[in-house]
Amino acid sequence: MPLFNLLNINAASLNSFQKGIDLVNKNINNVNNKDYAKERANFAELAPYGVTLKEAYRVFDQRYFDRYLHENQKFHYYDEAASSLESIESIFNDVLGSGMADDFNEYFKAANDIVNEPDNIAARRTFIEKARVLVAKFHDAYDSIENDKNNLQLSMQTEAEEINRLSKQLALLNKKIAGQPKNLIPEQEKLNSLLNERDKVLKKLSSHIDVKIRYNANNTADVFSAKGHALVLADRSYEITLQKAAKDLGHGLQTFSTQVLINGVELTGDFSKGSFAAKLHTENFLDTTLTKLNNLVNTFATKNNDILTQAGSYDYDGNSPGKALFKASDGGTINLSTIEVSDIKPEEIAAAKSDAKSDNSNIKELYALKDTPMNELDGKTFENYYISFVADIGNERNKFRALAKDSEAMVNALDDKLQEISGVNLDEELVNLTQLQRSYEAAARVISVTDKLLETVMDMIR
Amino acid sequence: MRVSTNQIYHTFLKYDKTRQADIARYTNQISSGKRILTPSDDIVAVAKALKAKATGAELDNYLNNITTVHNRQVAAETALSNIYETAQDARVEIIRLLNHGVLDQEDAQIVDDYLQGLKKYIIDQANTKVGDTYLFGGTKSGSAPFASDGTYSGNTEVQTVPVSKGYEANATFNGEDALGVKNGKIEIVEVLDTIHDQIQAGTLTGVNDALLDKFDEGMRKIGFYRSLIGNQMKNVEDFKQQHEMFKTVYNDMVSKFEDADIAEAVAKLEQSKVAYEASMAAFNQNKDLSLLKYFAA
Repeated sequence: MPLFNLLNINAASLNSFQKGIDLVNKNINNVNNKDYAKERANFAELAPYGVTLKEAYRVFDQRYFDRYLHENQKFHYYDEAASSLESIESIFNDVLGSGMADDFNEYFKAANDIVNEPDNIAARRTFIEKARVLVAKFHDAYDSIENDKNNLQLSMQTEAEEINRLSKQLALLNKKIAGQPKNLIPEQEKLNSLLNERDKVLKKLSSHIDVKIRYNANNTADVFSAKGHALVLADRSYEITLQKAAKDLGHGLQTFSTQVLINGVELTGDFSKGSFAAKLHTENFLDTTLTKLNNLVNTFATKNNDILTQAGSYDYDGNSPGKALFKASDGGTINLSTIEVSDIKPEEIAAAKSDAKSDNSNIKELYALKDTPMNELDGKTFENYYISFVADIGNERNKFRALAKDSEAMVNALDDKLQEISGVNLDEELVNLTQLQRSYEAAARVISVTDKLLETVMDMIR
Repeated sequence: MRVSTNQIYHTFLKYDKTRQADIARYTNQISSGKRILTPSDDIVAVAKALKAKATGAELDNYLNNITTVHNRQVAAETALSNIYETAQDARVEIIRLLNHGVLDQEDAQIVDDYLQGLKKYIIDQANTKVGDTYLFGGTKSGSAPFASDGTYSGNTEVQTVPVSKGYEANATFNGEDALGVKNGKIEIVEVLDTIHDQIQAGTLTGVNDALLDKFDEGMRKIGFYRSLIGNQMKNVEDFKQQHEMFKTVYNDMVSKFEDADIAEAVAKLEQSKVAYEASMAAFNQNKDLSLLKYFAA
């Protein structure tokens, strides 16, 4: 073999080792980049005596990645649901002082004070005041829940925009990936970077919404969401849009709830994973809570009014029947939004069933409401109905908290596994670096020896 | 197992988060004094605590009612005792009047004046008030139930107040039963009025044993009603003791459900702190483990 050829071969080797060092360099620089899959230099023999960098191999396990996406969707659903429910729970946290249980007790205590002394005007005034406090609590709870809903809807809007942005980005990446040649080293490197970028987007998408991925032979990925509707098909993406629909919560109370459409098709009830679906679920749960609270308020007001205004009831001044304590601000049905204490004077509360001042038989009937199970409240008393819906909120949150904890462990384990396979280990890279450095030095040494040989030959003909 | 460099940081962060959440939780428990920070922490305990509180509130209502009832019972019993004792004084005088032969008209006049004084006092007592409420007017408690001649204008309904489940005690009283009203007038007052009429007419012989019997009958009714109130007082007192005992039980129950066991929370906080420090120490030692150190030189 000619000596000059030896120079050529070793020059190529130097070049290959340098590229290898470039890869190590890339790995080291991305040591803290969680979405980076490390690359390994695959050297191949270059006949007859050389070596060449054949492949920048992307160390990656598709199987674990897919499982990760699957768990990640579930985790973000449970986690978001648990944390969204926290704010509703704080509205009804009787242990730490919010909630209404105490106010119901206070209201009936005030009624009992009239039972005690029907001719005590101060007791009657206190009763009206306690009714006002209770009504204020109803309104507070209503406002807090509606406020929560508005915030939730705003954040769903933002999240939908983020999902659309990610879908678009993925479509763009698909386009680049499909057009990317992958045989030569610099192009292969580029492809690897695009794949890293693609997987990062898929991870993000999976935290927001249900996704099913189909990988194509040309390395592009199609994404399908609820009921198999496509979000991304090759280089095309389809938008998620939101709209509001009126919803009836009973007793004339209306609210607005979110509807979700993919490419114009309404799929609201079909999302079950990711934080976006959790927000939809929470919104629905808030509506259920509002419905229950609304039912409680309506029943409470109606039952109290019924007794205070029933035939044969007398107020302090002997007028019959008595006046209603609660009314609707708009003159319609009493509900969570319209309830208010009517313009009633203490004397106008019908405590009696005769015109006698100390007759307390009517207000005793009102006091007995406290322990009366009502058909309207699923056969429960006011108090038990309230306790049961507070418990429902707690149970719901507990369920999601437990599920989130489980699936968080799973996601973390899968993430660890992915890192274990694809993550960069500095020690490993430093050893590789040393190895390549030595190879480079050796090849250079061969060149220097060849140079000496050539020099010797030159000297011979000088 | 291969460990990527990033994993060391990630693992530390993961456990650091858990430890910090633990520390925050126990600190909250200690500073709020509550074991349950949100209903979902222990739903069953929250539901039980709310029930126990409601029952406690109901007992408070009963105790409140008992205070009112007790005050009125004492006032009513005192009034009836005064009336009964006054009636006994009157009875002595009536017996004196029965001895027609001994008393002349002048003496009889003195006795009559005395009896009329007693009558006024009896009616006064029958119109006993607590606050603005006349006790012996039934539910018509807004105006004096007895006129100055002893006629009754109250009603026979009474204001009763629950002092326990299924037991109601009087907060006003039926004047007709309490004062022995017959034909719309207090019977003993009726007798005193008849005696007054006889004396004024100078017919002392008209004061006879039949009048005394009638007077005794009136007194008997008052005495009977007084013992009725006494019995009710005893019952109410029993309920009071019972309610107070149960209230303590319910308060204990609420506290058991809701309140933090401070000693336990402090111990757990210490435990979490140790775990947190250990995790930090481990990270501190591991973070410098790298070949890089040897390459630097």
